[in-house]
Amino acid sequence: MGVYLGNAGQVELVRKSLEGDKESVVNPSDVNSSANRFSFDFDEGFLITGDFVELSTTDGTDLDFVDASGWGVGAVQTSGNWYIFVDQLGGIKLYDNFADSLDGGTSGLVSLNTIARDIPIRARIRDADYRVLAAVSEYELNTNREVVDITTLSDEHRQQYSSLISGSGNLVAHWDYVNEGTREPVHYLMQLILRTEIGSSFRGKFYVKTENATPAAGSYNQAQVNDSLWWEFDAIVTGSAVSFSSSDLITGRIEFVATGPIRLKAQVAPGDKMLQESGDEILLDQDATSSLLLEAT
Amino acid sequence: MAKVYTGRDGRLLIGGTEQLKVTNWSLTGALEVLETTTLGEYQRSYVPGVQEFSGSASLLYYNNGSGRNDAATALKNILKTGSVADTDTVSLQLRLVEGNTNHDISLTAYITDVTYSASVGEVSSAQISFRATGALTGVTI
Repeated sequence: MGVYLGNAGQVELVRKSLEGDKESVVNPSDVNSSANRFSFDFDEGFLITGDFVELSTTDGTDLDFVDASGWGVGAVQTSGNWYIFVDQLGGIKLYDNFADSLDGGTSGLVSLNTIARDIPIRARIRDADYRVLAAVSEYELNTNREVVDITTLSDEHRQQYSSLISGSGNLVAHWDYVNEGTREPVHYLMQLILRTEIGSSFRGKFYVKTENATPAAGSYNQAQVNDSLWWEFDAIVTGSAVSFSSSDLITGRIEFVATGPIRLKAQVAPGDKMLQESGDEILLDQDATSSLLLEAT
Repeated sequence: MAKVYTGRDGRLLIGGTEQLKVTNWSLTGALEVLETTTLGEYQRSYVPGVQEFSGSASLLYYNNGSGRNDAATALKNILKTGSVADTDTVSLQLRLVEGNTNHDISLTAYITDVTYSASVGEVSSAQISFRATGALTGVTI
């Protein structure tokens, strides 16, 4: 029986939107092809730098203002996905990868073309990759099962019937606003709650034990080291608070409620070893004590 | 021995059959009074008029596994394709049990209202209202 500390935990999140998309029009004057920057009418906060956005036309025409070099197929299509950088004036630059979109520079920047007509578009936040939420110092997750009282006349003991499951919680992280490419700062969640048009949802993985975490004390099997366990669910940010104290770190506190199913998942990793159908390892001819490994991705 | 009655002691019988999964019942008795006060009198006076008995009950929409669903049976007094005839009365017994003794109010009634619903986070149930026709057929409270 092992004893685990909180440092075996971790929070990962995916940027997403559960509550719809935004339709607008890109006018010829909205596209600056020399700066590879464009814009359309959207409320401040609708798009956040680093979002993975699907842009598509609503009239079936091509997205002409995105140069053919910006498409994976090398030709202009009616719909495409890019990471975005949003500047202070609401201008948008498209990037082919997340890290470059955070910098807003020329690396990874998708070229734009001038257009001669209005293009009606729809913008939607797409699921992207899980990224670790940086500098989390604590989190708490509560799952509740509602029960309905079905006690009837003549019963001597209360009877309950299982009803709906709900979840809520909060997390505390040291505040930072700089995204390190693979790590989201808690500032992102503070931006989410202000996003009015498409809601403040995200998909989260709240780890109880991450891969390669070992117990702080007690006994454990070496095969457990690669195991990981986590809660996974969609959530909506319902509250954010920042605390300032002259002698303390600035921390952000985020409160959220789960929406949809809550899953407690476990990955009992076989140590990255390729297995036979029987579950046995595939041993090497050269060394009977060694087995075939999977290539790390 | 002192005795406080609670829902644990309650029963509802329809047609002599104890109903499954009843969560509550209530009965209201009323007497209409007719005023006989006349000029020159200093106090109002009355004579008894018509008695009235009505009430309600809630039953969980529950199937006991053998196909018996008392809530559905009660609902069918009104929720049916044909019309209601004057013979469509039900015999009700509202009972409080004390050991081997039953404290009953018995009446013949028409089911006058039914409500049947499904709500998120709630158990489906049937609420029925009834109104007695004629005098109470038994009072052993």
